[in-house]
Amino acid sequence: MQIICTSKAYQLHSVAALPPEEEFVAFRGPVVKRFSAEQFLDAISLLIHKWQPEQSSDAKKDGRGQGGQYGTILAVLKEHGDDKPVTEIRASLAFRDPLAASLGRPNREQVVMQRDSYATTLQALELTNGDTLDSLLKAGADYWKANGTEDSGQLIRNLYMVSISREPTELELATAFELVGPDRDAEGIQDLLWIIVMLPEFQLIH
Amino acid sequence: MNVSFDRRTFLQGLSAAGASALFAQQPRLLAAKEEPAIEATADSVILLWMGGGMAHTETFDPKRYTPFEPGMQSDSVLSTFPSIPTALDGIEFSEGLEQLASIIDKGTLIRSHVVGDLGKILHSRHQYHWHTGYEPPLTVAAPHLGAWIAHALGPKNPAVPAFIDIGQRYEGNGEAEELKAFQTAGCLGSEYGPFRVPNPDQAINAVRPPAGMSQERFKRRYKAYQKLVQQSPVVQEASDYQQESLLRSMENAYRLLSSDAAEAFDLAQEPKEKFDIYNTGRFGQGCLLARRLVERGARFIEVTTEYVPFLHWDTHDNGHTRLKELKPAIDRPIAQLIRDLEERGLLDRTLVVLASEFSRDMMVEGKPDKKVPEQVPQPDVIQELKHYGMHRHFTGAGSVLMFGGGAKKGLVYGKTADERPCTTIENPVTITDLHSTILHMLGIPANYGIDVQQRPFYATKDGLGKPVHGLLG
Repeated sequence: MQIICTSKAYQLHSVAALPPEEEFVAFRGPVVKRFSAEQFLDAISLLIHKWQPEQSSDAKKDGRGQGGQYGTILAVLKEHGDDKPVTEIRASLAFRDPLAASLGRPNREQVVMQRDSYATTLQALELTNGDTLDSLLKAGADYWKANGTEDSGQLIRNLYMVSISREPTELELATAFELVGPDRDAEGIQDLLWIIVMLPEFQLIH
Repeated sequence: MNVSFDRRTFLQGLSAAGASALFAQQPRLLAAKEEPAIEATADSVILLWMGGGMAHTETFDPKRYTPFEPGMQSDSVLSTFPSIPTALDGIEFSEGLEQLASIIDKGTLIRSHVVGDLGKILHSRHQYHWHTGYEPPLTVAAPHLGAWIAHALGPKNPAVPAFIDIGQRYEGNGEAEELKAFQTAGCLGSEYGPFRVPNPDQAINAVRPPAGMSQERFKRRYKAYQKLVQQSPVVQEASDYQQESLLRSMENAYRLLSSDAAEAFDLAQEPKEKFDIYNTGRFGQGCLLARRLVERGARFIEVTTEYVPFLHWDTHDNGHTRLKELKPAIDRPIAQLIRDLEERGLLDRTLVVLASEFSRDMMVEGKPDKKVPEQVPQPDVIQELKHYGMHRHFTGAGSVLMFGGGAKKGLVYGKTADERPCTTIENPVTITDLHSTILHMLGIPANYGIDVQQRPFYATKDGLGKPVHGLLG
């Protein structure tokens, strides 16, 4: 692990695209990737402090949804004496909702060997006005209003740090402040959360 | 319009994001074959889907009528409705389809549509076969016909999704996962997948801001988004197709949600008297929505009567009684759709196709010469009305209607036997060739295809579909 992490190849910057096979000379860095549906939803869960709802705990479910998988994991944990309630349920263990489907999560019944990684208009429509994301971000705004700092500027800084691991620039802070306002408007916080999770910086892995 | 499908044209027609995606190991369009371009006669398609299996002998190909009578022999019944005349001399429809009968001179009736014999008959397998052209199971995620068309031609109006699917709900449907398997762009990528409108009367919700968000707030949010994207130091430094496609897709979505085209999704804007003509229920409203979307430049729309196991056209019992309700639900809105398209000058370039996954018969299950296990129960002697109807699945014949888009007017194509098993006896039209005909009308060759991980995959099975030229006007 140490060799991998300290290697030059591992630390290379990402590249926009791989060169055509015939022009390939040397590895110049990993290609920029977009979050998978599950990664995207997990990243949002982390940001809004709300994880996927509990699925069926029945390990024998036929597996047509993801509930069976979740139940199986619970059963294995129990076998090993771990009966603690699971609180942070990852998107990969949840059902494929319209948002996950639009982000390219395939049916379990269909064999697929690759997923789309680039954004499409249909995805953007779901992300822009779909109920699933809207309600998640609404809950997230409520969480931050209730649990975040009372200083709007600091709240914006915290949101940036948690979501994209950096503080906003002065310009960004000013724009975000226009949305959130001095009184930490819940709708403003929700809109800022939406904007952040739609930023290429949030969705792309460089 | 001449449509030439070579790699150069394809690349030129792609957005920068799509072109970049090509180089990122996405499916590639297969190299063009040296074939003359096809003269397209249609720009848009509306597929009217009779999900569940529509009996040809009870609709567009009626046979001898035997009224219900307790104690009657099942094998004596070919049709449970009397026939009615149509606008074409010597051609009759089944009672209850008077409106369609009056306009069939504007279109083509295929009476010889034969579908696959997939053994133990499952509706979802046959619907998969019809919609994709491939028999399941497959090792490749086969795209829906609409996705192929969206891939080949793109949206007609950039603000309207190229492939729209109206009327099919998944929630609570016992075969939801099977339905999703073909209502997809599959290996073409989700960009070409269906824009789903499960409830036509709520279609406007799909193209307006989230519930509870005002237009002003919606616009303010997007403006702030644009500003923060511009202000982001990371966005300024990086430039790659992932970022470009993400920003472009957001722009496209905002354009649709704030454009005039979104009004097409709002059935409340239709004059009441016109709405009432269409409004026979969800399917009728779907037809109206399809017309409004075609007016705004939609490319491919499917409107389904909705497949739900044992409901609608899936008549495992009470076939006669249930068809009395089903026929009015489709007859008036479809006829009005054709009249409206014609009146607006849109029918010539809009192909309307009515089809179903297979037909039905009272006695024969599957094909006449093959015994299918677990066939739908049917007593030899009918005592109760619930046993009077076409309750078994039949694949040896089926009726398809085609209007506009280059389909011949007043043509009846193919023939079925007048006695049981009432199977196709002249000019059979397979799914592969029917799809090929539809694609041909749009200027798309049957061997249009892509390279999926170094395997060729075509819009018609193995690229071998042949258009039925006899259907083309």
